[in-house]
Amino acid sequence: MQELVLTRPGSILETDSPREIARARVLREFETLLAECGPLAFRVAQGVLRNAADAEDVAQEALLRAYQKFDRLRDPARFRAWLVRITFRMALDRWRSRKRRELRETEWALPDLRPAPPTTEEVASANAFQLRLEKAMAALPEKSRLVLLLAAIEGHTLAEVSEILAVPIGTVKSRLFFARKQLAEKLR
Amino acid sequence: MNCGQCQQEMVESLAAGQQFLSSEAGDHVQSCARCAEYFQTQRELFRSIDAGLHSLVNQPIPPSFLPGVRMRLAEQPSLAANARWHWHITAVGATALLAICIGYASRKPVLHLSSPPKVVSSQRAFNDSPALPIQSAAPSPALLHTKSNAHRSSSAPRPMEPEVIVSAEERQAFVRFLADSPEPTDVAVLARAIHERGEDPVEIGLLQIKTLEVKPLDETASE
Repeated sequence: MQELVLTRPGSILETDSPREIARARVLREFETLLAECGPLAFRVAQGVLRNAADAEDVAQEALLRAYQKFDRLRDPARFRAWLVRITFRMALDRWRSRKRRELRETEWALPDLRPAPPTTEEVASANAFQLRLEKAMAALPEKSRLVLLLAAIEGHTLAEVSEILAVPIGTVKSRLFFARKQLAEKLR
Repeated sequence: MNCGQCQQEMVESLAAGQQFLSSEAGDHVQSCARCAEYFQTQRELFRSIDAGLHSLVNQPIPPSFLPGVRMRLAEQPSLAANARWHWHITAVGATALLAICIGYASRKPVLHLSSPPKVVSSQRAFNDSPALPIQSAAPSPALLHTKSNAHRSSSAPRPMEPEVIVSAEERQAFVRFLADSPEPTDVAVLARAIHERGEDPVEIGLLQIKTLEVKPLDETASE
């Protein structure tokens, strides 16, 4: 035996409060931006933290924060730039706290437990170069680091980087030039 | 162009993302084996930097990333609820502030609702001129009562009767002012209570004068 329930079309919308309707609209809008800009947030966090798990966590938190303050964003076209700044700042905070924790642990650790110095083979390997590169990156000023990361992200042109950072393209070029030069000096 | 200048130009060209040198530097590299080797080394270094940066930031996005964000978004309270909560906090804060402001604004120095006031001058000044009574029709005025005259009125025959104490130098002007004023007279009074150990803060209050009687100040220790 089947029981049929007739519902009037649109009745659900009528019972929803305007608040809920507004929330659903904001969520839909945010969802579109999330699919478009979420990966960028992850990559920026990854560029700073160099750890996929940490980067995922920080990027998720940055997106949540962006959602919470979404109503304050007047121009949705600036969402990408806004999200990049939030993510970069949060990733830097996480990176600093991680460094502090590592330093504390190293200071307190017994000498036997400390990691062994790298061998000649390790230094010669590409992995070692990557480590040196990451260390050199970490020593760069924040502005230079962000420009390097954004410019290295696949498909980003200098014009897009300039748009994201809201600085003239000449400034992007200049920051990129000095950042690359500094990196080369540190790695030479 | 010497080797130093050539090598500097190489680094700057590579840092700017150019793969080729100017004709002058190119000619030098053709003729100088050391600079040619340096150029190759530097070009390799910049290629490695670019490759390292590329591999650093272009790692695949974890499959759990976007679903994780959506899940955490679903747990979030709505923006409208947040806004409502913020509005509540703002409203409560504003009300509290308003209440404090009203309380502060309506705060007066100790006020009496009592019998008609009288102006009292010091003994020395009173001897200079006779009392000048001023009558008013309205009853029960509010009168500013400062710490100073509270202290002094404690020894007066009618302690609850409000009094204004006018210094000897200003008594004449005060009496003239009151005599010329229409009735009932509201006078803003700025009172400074002077104690032996120093001055109290200035107090401002509204003095409504209904009836005025000038009389000598009673003999007290403070006078």
